Amino acid sequence: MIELRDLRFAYGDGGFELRVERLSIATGQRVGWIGPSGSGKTTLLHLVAGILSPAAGRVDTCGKELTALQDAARRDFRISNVGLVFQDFALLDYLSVLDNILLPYRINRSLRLEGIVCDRAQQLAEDVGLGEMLTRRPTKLSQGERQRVAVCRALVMNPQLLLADEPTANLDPGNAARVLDILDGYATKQAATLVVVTHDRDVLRRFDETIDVSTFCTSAQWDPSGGGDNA
Amino acid sequence: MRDSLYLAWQYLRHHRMVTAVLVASITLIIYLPAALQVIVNNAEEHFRSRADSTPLVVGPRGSSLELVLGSVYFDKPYEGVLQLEQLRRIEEQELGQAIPLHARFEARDCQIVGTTENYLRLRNLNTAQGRSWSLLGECVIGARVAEKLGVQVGDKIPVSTSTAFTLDNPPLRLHVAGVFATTETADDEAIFVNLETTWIIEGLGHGHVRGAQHGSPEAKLYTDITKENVASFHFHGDRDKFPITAIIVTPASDKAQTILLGQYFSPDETAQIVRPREVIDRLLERVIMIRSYMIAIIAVVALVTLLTMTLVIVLSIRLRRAEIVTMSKMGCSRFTIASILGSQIVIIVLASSAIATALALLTDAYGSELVRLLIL
Repeated sequence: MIELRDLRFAYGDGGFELRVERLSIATGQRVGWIGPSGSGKTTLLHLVAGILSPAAGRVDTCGKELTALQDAARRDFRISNVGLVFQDFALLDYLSVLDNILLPYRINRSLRLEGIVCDRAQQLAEDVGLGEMLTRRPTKLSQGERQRVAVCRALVMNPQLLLADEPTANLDPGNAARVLDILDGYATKQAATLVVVTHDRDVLRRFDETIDVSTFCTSAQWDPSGGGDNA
Repeated sequence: MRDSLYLAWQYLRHHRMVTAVLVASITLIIYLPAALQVIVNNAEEHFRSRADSTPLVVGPRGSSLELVLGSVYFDKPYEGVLQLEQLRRIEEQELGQAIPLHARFEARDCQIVGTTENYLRLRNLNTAQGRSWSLLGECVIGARVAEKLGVQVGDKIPVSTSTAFTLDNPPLRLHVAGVFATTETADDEAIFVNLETTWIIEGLGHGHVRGAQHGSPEAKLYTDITKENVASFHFHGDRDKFPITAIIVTPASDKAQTILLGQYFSPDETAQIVRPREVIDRLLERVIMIRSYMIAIIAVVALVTLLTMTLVIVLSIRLRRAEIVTMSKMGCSRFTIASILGSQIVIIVLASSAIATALALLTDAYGSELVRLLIL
């Protein structure tokens, strides 16, 4: 499902470098990525999703060699195959809950917004307890409800791969557990691969495997004690 | 594109106050020069067509513009006075048709114009109700006067008079004999009477019980002119010295016009003769110059507004940076993001253009009405 080989990535200022000789995650596997702030968790997630391109090496995701694809092809691949969940939910305040869930279909022409998709979006919302809130704006929702909307948005196109970047960081334990249950449930039902970046070691029990991303960071400026920025 | 428009529309709907301000600003930028153009064009047409149908005007020396505005457009009661002998002088030369006007009085804010039947023929004034005046004290009113004062044939309009014979200045009641059909000219706004009626208003004539001494209690002045008492009305003084405010002259030929124009060159002459079209052309030149200045000012304001709007849009894009980054991470291309932002601008500009066009069409449809309200 995910295959990284001889990967090398550095930001332009040269202050941070990530090297991965080999990393494999099998289809349907649930993996937790840990590591202190600035160790490269989010960067690695973006490399796997094709948001960032490595300076060298190869990234294969869902059977596609992302490093061989042009920007447009990577975008089309990502929106069809990768469900992304962000720490800050990243909902659009001017759209209703339903429109936020359907957003992937409105921003990329490779997905077609049809009636069946709207039905699926409504079903997802109902499944996570948002069935009565479809017309509400995100500003009228609680934190937990917002993250559930963000999760629905990541699931609506039935992705094979779910990448969640600290999805529970802004949630209370109850809502955090609920969000993880939803992600876990989807991955199990759809045999999808789930990668969750987290700081929370209690969460790690849910995963088949835990990877410490800090082992890939070779930057001289990186502070293993966790003092750096989130990279 | 449909999705970009949808997202743009949702954004604008959510930020409705900002959207409304932007739409209002652009609407004004588009509408103001258009409205100015429409109003000036209407004013030009209105002024020129009336001036063209009034070949020459004789009036007292002074401002030619005031003379034309007062006697051709009944702008306001005209203070200058000619003597009736000026009319006789033109008539005796048989150089054309001379129509006297006496337009110094108002009744309930409507101009009273004393004239002859020839004026009605010159202006093609036809009664829509009733008939023309036939008696002293009768009037025919313009269509707008009827509307404004809420009067119709058979009603009476009181008008203040001045007289040297009593102190109480009894009001004279004008009998409405007819209402003219709408002409969309200054005639719609006036009350027309014969010249003698205006002299009664001025106090140069009156009616009272026959044989009574002026000033005595028995000589109470009639305030209603009726068939029974009309014969008692009489005038005091030399008729040739009676006042009029202007004379409209339609010369019989170009030669007659040249002779007439030449007669008023003398510096000793107490009257002047003007060609209304020339006076109005001079006035309109200034109006057009003012319009050019105004359009220049509007252009500067438009430029400043557009720059401000650009700033607002740039700032809003910066504020939406997180949203743009999110969409980009999800798989949205720069082109799609640009098309969403561009759609917002297109919707705002289209909405503004539509509103401005509707307003401009309304302004055009009611152009003459606006000219009447704003300029006349």
